[in-house]
Order: sequence, then structure tokens, then C-alpha cells
Amino acid sequence: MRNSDFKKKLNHEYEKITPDVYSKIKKVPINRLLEIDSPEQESRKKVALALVCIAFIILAVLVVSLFSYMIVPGASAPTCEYVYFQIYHTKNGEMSTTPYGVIIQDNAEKYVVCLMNEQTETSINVENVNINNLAEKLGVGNGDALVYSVIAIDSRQADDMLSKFTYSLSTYVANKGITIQATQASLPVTTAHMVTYINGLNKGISVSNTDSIETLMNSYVYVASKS
Amino acid sequence: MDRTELDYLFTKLMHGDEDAFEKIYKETKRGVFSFVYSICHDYYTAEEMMQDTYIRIRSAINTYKPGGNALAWMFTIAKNLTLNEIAKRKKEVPTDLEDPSLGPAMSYTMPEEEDQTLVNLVKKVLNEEEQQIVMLHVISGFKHREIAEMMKKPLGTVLWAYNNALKKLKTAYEKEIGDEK
Repeated sequence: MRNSDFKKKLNHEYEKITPDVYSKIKKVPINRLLEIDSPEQESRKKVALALVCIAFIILAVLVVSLFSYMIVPGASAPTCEYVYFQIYHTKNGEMSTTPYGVIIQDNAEKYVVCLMNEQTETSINVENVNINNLAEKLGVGNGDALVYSVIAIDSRQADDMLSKFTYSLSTYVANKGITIQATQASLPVTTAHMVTYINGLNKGISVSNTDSIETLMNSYVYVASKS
Repeated sequence: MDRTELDYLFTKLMHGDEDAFEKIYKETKRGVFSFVYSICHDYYTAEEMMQDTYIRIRSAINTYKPGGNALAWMFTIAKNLTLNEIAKRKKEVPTDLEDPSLGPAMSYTMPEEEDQTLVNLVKKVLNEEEQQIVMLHVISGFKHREIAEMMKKPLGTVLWAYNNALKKLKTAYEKEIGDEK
């Protein structure tokens, strides 16, 4: 048998036994999920995706810029690092008052507080508290009065902090029988207070009334931490 | 049907021409069936795999790159589906209802109405690789060079295997015919 005849016979035999599945295939719904885009569609999608990415990046930059402008203090709103915060706390209507000098490092809503009782010359370091926690810690209760003032490196910081404390305390003292009073801080008096303290504790630091408020506050934090 | 025409039909199918699919089916069904049959050696599994191959071709037609070798693309799909099916069935544990003496699930035989002397001899005297080479060349019309590429074998090996297989097949066939006479 010639090769060509042999191949023909082989083809013929396979032709006869090959099943016809066409009608079955036609009945099966095409699963289009398996489809992959043609090169043109793929290219169009890539361009669209690139445009979306660029738009998204621009939008993100805008949002971040706006957000930063809104929340990050700029040149017109200096960062509040140290505030000397005085509390005159009248316990249960008694005449004796206990002044506290408090250095506060502002960290959004919470403060790292370095608190010093100016009469007993003891210090309490309280971290991550807000002004309400502080009032609670001092044991301010029904019939008490809380008189406070603020002095900061920048006078605008002082005003800002005073407003914040007033707002926060007024919510806290509501229906508790506590009265609050914000007073105008006197820089010379406060400075004199701080100088007396810092020098009086003999912690190797000596300051004078002519030093800047920033130096005095840093020194105050230092001696308080050593007490 | 030459390769250019088949490529054209595949391109038409990409654009949703169902008539093109019918033409592709008619032109390639024998080749696809004989090829998957040479891999799985079971008639009904081959039928099932043939069906799955065409279903996959329809559903994945957009992955075909126009201007390519449509037939090779198609046979690669057929081969992968069949090998996956064989691997899947090997992992299957026989249930209590199945008689282990009957062997694995692929134990069907093909319909007996037609003369299948050569089909049976192909299965009987050729090994799996020889069967695939003969089917791809004789039934589907692949060139030896293309078969070598598809099977990742040197051209010389494919040529030698093909000639050897044909010789074995012819000898066996002549012996079979002689015995019948």
C-alpha cells in the first residue's frame, strides 16, 4: 500500500469515528468572563487607567495641600509648645488657695503636663491628659472655684489656649456646682513666680527676670522633672 | 484549509461571527478528536475533551492573536484540557459503588459500527508520542517542524519517530489484512 493511500485510509477511519458535538457546543452559553481584551481595547483601557491615575494623584495632592493648610499651623499660627498655666483652686469655699504652675506641651487635644504646686514645691508629671482630666486630678468638686490664667511664648497662643480651656471646662463643670473664672495673666508676676521657683529649687539652673519666657519655660520643665 | 484561511476565520469569530465558528469546527473536528484521543486513549473522554476544546475556543477567542498559528493555538488548548482532565481523574478516589476491577473511570470503548482497523492499530502498535506525531501530521496537516515546536523536541527526533511509526503501522496493517485473507 502506498503511503498516500495509507494516509487516506487513516483519515477516512478517523472521519468515521469522530463524534459530532457541534449541537452540544452551541447549546453551551459562552462564558464571557474568560475573555481578554483585544490589543486595541487593552490599549484604550491602559490610557484610561493612566488618566484616572493622574487625576487621582492630582486630587490627592490637592486634598493633602488643603488639609495641611487647614490643620497645620502656618506662619500666622505658631505652634504652641509651652504654656505656663496657673490654677488657683479654692477648695470647698475655704479662703486658702493653692496656686499651681503648669507647663503644657500642646499635642492636639492632649497635653503633656508638668505641674508644680507652688506652695508645697512638689511636682506632679501628668502625661496625656486634657484640662478636664487635670481638674479631676486636682479634686475640684461641688462648691469649688477654678480660677485660671494662661501665659505663653506668643500672646496669641495664650489667648487661644485660654479659649480652649474655657470651652472645655465649661462643658466639664456643667451641673457639678463648680465655678470657673478665666483671668488675665500678668507676665511680670508669672515671670517672677517662675524665677523664684527655678532658682529656689537649686537644681543647678539660675535664671533672672530678664530671661526670655521661652528660657524660663524650658528651665521650669527641667527643674520640675528633677524634683 | 490553509493556515491563512483558518486565521481569517478565527479573526471573524473574534468579531462574533458564529458562521466562522461552524466552519472552524467542520475543518478541524477530526484533527482535534484524533489528537485528544491519542492522549487519553478513551473514546468518550476524547469526545468530552473535544467538546470542551471548542467551548473554550469560543469563550477565549479574544486571547487569540490574529496573524498567529490558529491551529497550534487550538491544539495547545486541546492538549492542556485533556492533560488536566487526566490529572484530575487520577486524583479521584473510587467510590464504593464502583467496581475496582473495572479499572479507572476511563474505560469506555468506541462505537463498533465502522471499520476501525487502523484506528485500533494506532492504539495497539504505537506509543503515545508516536500516536500524537502521526495524528498531528496525517490527520491535522501539521508540518514536522511545527510538531517539533509544539512537542518541544528536535526536528530530527520527530522525523525519525514519524517514519518509524508509519513503518510499524503499515507492517501491522499488512499483517492484519493478510491474516484476514
